[in-house]
Amino acid sequence: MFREMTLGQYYHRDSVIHELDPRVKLAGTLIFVISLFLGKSVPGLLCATIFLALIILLAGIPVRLMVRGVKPLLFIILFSAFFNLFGTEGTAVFTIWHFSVTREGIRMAIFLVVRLIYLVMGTSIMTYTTTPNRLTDGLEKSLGFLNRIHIPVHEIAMIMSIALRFIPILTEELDKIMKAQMSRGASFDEGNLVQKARQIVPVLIPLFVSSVRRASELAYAMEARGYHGGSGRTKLHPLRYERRDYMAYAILLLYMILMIVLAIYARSF
Amino acid sequence: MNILKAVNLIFRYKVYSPGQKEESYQSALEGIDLTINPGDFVGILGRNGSGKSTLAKQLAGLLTPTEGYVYIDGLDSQDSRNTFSIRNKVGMVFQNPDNQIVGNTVEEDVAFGPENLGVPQEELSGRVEKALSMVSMHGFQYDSPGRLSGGQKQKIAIAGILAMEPKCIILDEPTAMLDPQGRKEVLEAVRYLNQEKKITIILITHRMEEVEEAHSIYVMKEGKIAVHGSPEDIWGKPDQLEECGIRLPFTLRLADHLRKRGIPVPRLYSEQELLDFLENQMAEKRYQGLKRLSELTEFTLPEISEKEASEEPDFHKEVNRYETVSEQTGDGGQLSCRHLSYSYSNLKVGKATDALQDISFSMKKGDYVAVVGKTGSGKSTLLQHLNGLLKPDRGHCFYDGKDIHGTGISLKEVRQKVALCFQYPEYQLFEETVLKDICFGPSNMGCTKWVCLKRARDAMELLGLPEQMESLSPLVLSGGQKRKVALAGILAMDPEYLVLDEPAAGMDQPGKDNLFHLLRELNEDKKTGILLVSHDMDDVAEYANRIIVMDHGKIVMDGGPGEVFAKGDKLKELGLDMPRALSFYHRLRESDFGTESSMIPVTVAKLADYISRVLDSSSQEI
Repeated sequence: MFREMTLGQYYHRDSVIHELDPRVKLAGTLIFVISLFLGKSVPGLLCATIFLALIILLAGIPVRLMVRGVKPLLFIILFSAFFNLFGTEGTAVFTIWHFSVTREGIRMAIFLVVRLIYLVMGTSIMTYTTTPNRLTDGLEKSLGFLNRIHIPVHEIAMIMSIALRFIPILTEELDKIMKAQMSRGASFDEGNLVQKARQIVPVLIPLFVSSVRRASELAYAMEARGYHGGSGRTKLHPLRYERRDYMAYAILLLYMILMIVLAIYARSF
Repeated sequence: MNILKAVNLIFRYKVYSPGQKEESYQSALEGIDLTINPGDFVGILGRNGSGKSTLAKQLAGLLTPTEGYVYIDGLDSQDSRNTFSIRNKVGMVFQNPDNQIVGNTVEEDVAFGPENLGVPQEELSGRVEKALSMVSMHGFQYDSPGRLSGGQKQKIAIAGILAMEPKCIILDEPTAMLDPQGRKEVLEAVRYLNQEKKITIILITHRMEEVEEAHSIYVMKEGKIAVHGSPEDIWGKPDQLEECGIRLPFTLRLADHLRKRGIPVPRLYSEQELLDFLENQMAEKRYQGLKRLSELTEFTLPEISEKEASEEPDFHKEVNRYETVSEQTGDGGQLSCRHLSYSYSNLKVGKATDALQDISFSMKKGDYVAVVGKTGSGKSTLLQHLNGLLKPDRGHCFYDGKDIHGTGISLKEVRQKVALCFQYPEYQLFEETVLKDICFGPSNMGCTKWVCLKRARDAMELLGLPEQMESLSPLVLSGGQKRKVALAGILAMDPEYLVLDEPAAGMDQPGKDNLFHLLRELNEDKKTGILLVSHDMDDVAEYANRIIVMDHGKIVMDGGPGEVFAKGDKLKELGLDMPRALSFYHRLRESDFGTESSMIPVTVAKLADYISRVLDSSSQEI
């Protein structure tokens, strides 16, 4: 039933983008998102388009995969575009009943749609090119400063990575428990909402019990292997910047400056 | 200097029971003394719940004694300053491979221990590589643990401990959840570590044959050490072992059976010794026969040939019966499949993997069928078709001549008639009380409350569950009791067919005997049709009257035990074992012993019959 489920969206390719340090990619995603808010002009958007296209090309992610990522959000995007279309004041192009579509509105709507699509694409590149583990590593390292205000960053990262490890195991278990209860005559798609909620109990409780059991076994196993939190730990593959990472930072900086310049001087185009 | 030492070790843990205000204590270990020397291979045996795992955790320093002491390489485990150095000296491998792998890749997981110990980064990858090659898992560094087989996962867990370079490794039932192939792999790795790398090994198990080569063995019972000594010492005390719920190794069981048939077998331990003994007996009997021949003037015909001839058709008859059955289509209360095919679609790879290909077979009430095959041969997938959990891509399943996905019968009815018991069924218990949980099945099937209760109580009685248990929460029971409750929940549906996926997995010998006894009773008295998946060929040979062998989603053999096991070479090709009795029989046949039996002995008792018959006849034959 759930056997087909795959975890995360990671798409394996040997590309320069895949190899980049996850911290660079995190920073890159952040910069790209900010730049989209700056680029409210044709040149700005063009610049962002070229940048995004180059990254997709470099990462070797098929375009249909990128498009597929946008689909679930299409409704929200079109919905907000619709409001922009009618809700913006300016020179009216045509009027339907009380609402008029303005020249500015059309411009705004197009910009909004493009920017939102880019936003989704930009962030999904991050998940397409980074394994969940590397992402966790990157987050742990870049958020390390939070340790100073007593946020246990290492522990949170550890929880995330263990959760990632156990999701497929628990999905498989869920499938098995559902089938076992179905074999005892349970059904999960009959009746109204309340009845349906009640039908979940025979699945949820065993799953919960099993998770607790697994957690306690895992805790022993981790203790046996000397786990005692983040202090004094070494890492097999510590995150270390290489030349390509510095170059990527440089490119990101250039792109950001370009976008700021365009935002200031090319606003009216 | 010993590496592990326990002195009068006592351990009790607190029990919280709802409604009870006073704290109560449950005793797990009661005065254990043991000493283990560096380089030893030590086996710890005992029934489920005898305290083996608790002892293991004590010896690994994961739990500390309530009373008494545990010294690990001279370090007191109760002194918290020692904790870290203890982790460096003793490693522990647990039963469930899934619950001890932390990393999302093999490499990451093996490095987890040394990372915690603060091993410098330059050294880490070297350690990972070394550890992986020691368990012959080199080249799997970048694999995701989820893609590995059970045996491979367990070897990764061992590598994860090895990378910490401990002096001693404690393995807590590392093979209990593995198939025979995985078990072999893990035991080989463990043996290699002990013999070549001189690492102290403590292997906890309830399978005697896994510790036949151990230096010393401790047998536990109710938190105490009941028997201790070298394997030879221990096997000299069969009564005590039986009391502890340990099954003797095959050779000793056979010797026992032979003695009962009047053959004076001395104390023997290895298969070779027994073979030598039997050959000698044979030679002696022949000599005596010759002597008698020279004394006698008249030649007497051996009577035995008639007796053998009368037994001959036994299994042929069995086979013929099934051949006619499998030719019929599904009718007359039968359970059958016609040209069943099924494949799992895999979205990521984008192509489907065939799990079943053109499966046809049928069984009727009163049959006892075992399905065998390697892991991944499609056994479980087939089982899930029989009660309609999976819908075939092509082909049909029939119950009582009706297509179970057709209009003639509802799926609910099918599931009541054909009850499916998954592996580790105790994990599906969920109700507040045992009785309610057992009633879950029948009440879903639309039985009235009164009928439900009656059936539940009958099922409990059948499984030997005491009445007081009714109102307990299933979660507080022991593992064995939980499984019985789960089985009761399935039997309470009053099925005509019982389909079970490895029902004995993880059970100790007495538990297993109990279960198989019950299944046989149901089979014989109520004529319940039984179809079960098993990896243990000895069990299969002992109980089933028909065996279906699967490989790569196809049925490759189908027949009586005699017929299937006669094709030993084919089984070996498929990566399956033969029953121990049969492989001993083949070894006997290779040596100069007796004539071929017309009936292939697949169980210990039948093998003993055969041997005594041959010995008897040989003295008369000449």
